[in-house]
Amino acid sequence: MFDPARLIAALPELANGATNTVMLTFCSALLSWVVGSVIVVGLLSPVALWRRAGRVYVSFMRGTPALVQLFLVFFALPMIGVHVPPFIAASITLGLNSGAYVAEILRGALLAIPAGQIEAAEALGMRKAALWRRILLPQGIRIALPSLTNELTLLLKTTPLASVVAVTELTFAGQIVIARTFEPAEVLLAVALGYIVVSQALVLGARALERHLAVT
Amino acid sequence: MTIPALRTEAIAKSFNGNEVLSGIDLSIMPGEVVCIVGPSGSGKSTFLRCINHLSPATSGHVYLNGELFGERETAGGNVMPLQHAALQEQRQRIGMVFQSFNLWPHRTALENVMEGPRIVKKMPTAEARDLAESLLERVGLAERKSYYPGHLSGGQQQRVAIARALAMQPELILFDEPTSALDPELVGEVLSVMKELASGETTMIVVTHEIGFAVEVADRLVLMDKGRIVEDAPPRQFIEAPREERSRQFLKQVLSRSLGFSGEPSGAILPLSILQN
Ligand SMILES: Nc1ncnc2c1ncn2[C@@H]1O[C@H](COP(=O)(O)OP(=O)(O)OP(=O)(O)O)[C@@H](O)[C@H]1O
Ligand SMILES: [Mg+2]
Repeated sequence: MFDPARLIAALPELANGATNTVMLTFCSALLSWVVGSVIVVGLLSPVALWRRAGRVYVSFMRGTPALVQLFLVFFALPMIGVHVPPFIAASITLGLNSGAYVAEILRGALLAIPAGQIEAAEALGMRKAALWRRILLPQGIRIALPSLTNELTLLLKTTPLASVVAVTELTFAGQIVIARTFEPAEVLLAVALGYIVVSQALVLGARALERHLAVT
Repeated sequence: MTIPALRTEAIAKSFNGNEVLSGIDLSIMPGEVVCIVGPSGSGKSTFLRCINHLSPATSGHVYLNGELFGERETAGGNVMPLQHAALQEQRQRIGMVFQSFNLWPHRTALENVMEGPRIVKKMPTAEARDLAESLLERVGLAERKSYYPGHLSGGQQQRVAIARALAMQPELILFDEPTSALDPELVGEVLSVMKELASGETTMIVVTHEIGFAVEVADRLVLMDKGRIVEDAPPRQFIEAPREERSRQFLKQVLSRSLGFSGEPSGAILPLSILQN
């Protein structure tokens, strides 16, 4: 029988898990944007070696399971003397992984900027740094924003992976509660609701940003 | 003797071994207006892009007011391409107006015009704004200054693009078919802005298919074909007594297109009034 009281009693535990999920998403998203920006510079570099390096990175991240990547960071790094706490290991893995997708999104967005806009800036005498700051980034971000939002919600839904290295994020917190209460349906519904709330918040935030940046 | 505002010396350009320009020599004096006409694919755009090194020539040199442009002479007497930063310094002195306007869609008309003075020339914002406002007024768009390009007609966008080029106070402006992408009813407003510029001090090279405009404003009319200059003459002389057979043939084509007949233009070829718009 469904007993709301028991679910309510478990809420602080689930809220704790949700906080970890949000933190994990936040940290890995930040890392993924930094990594993505660095990798895209490589992917679009005039230097063949950088392009090659960028492509190898993207292929590796897209071509191997995130779980294997997490094991590599969490179990293989200690073998060479690098010990990382579970939360950090999970953030790094998810950030590095998502960074490859972010790089591809940014690459597509930058290539979608009409060449004429860049030529107009060049013909005016604009330097490289100003070109990036004034034309490429503002335009690229506008074009990339919907896809970046999508990638962010995918990242959110990859965070349960962190449970395999014992980070008590939302899904893992739910499993712990289920193991104690034997009420999978209610708990899982609450967990699902938690993800919906977080992803909706992300999507609404991104929409507001899109509207703020919209020019047509 | 005054120095030409621009002089090109044996500009040649190949794309993958395919020669598109074969040694173009052209001089233009300060304040002069040169219109370049020619069939599609004759290398007109390529020539303009070689001038400001958007697509550097395979060989040959460009001199802006007597100064080597986009290149420098080394101590050993060799000529080397300039570093990008130095090239950008020089490019400020040549304006360019494109067939497809190429305004930045995320900036308003005013911001598009301010961008050069403010960001490239580091002019104080208030001063750049005053300059940009007066230029938008000059092209008849004062009341549209806060519109984004997406909300302007093609003719309006092109006038903003002209104001953007003027804002850098260049020594010379290159126009690459500035009205070719416009609906016919919008061509006039852009041409009249250009006529106003041409009647002033502005030095201009205009690639155009608007032969009537060219005849009216140009000091010299240049016909390009297959990567060479075929004829270079004052417009009246060009159309009334072209030296080259190729020029006669070109005029015939242009006329049959614009007048809808294919008669043999004879003797004192054309009533000029028909050409002028
Ligand atoms: N980037 C490029 N790569 C290869 N070929 C090119 C390139 N740009 C131009 N060409 C070739 O050079 C020739 C001249 O082109 P250009 O655009 O200069 O002609 P145009 O006189 O401006 O023609 P139009 O009146 O159609 O604008 C064409 O045959 C074109 O295909
Ligand atoms: Mg052209």
